Amino acid sequence: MVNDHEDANDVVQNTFIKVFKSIKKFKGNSQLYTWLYRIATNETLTFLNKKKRKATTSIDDDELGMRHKLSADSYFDEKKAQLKLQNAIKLLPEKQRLVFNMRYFEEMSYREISGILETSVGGLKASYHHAVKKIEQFLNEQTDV
Amino acid sequence: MKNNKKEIQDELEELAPLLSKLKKEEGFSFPDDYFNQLPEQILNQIDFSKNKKVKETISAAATITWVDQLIEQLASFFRPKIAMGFSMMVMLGIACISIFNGLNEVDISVVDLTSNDLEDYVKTNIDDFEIQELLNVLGDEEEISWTKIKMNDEDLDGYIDEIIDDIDATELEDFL
Repeated sequence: MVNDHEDANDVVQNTFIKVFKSIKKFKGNSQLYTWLYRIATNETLTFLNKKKRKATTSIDDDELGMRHKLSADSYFDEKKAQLKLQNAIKLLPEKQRLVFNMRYFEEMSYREISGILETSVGGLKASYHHAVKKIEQFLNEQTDV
Repeated sequence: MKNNKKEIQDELEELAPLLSKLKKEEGFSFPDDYFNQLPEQILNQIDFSKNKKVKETISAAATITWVDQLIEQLASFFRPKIAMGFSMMVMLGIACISIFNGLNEVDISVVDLTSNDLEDYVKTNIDDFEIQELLNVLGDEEEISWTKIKMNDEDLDGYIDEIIDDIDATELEDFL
């Protein structure tokens, strides 16, 4: 979800601090895993929004920068040929990116994602379908080039 | 989540054939020893001084609760029904203690009485005893050997006068 390892590290730390401070609020209404995942997701979105507010560049420049950043990240193995996919994912709107990551990489059911994001299963299916179609189109374009 | 794998793959093949053929790898890794250092990094960011305050607050709350409970229990003694019951119990307790102490005193007095004490008691309460009883007791305790007592006439007259004085008029009449 975030651009590089440093950002990911910040989000992880913020998430655990939030968990530490809020553990008394956990009432067991959902699974602990779901609760933790929800906090991590919220922290990620908050982090991205803060970054967006600070950024002065245009959206196009930002997307370009993100792709460049990914190539420059020493903790991303470009040789694994996943760069194209990651670049495509970076272009997705936040909500679609979240849903795609949860469904594609984490292999979660729509019900599980619904518990975390508190969104209807129908809405999640729509988000995932849009995301997959966009990525497929991007990959096709990159292959043609 | 593993159970979702086939369903997700089927769905992906239908929606995006190219993407579904791509090997699923995130490609990201993390620095060596990252997860060993992470706890320390997180703990350094947590303000434990606030937690100390929380701990103190919890302790204070616990003390107040203890004091409150004590006061409440003491106050309960002053509620009418409980106070009446408590008073009855105290009175019964005092009565029992008095009775048992009284019994003990009697036992002790009997044990501790000397013959002098008994003599004094008899002399003080001589009117309560019958002469015959005294004579019988006297006869049992020590046999008076009248033949061995040496008295002159004056002593004997005095002794008889004492006996006569001690004897009631009616008894004297019967005797005569």
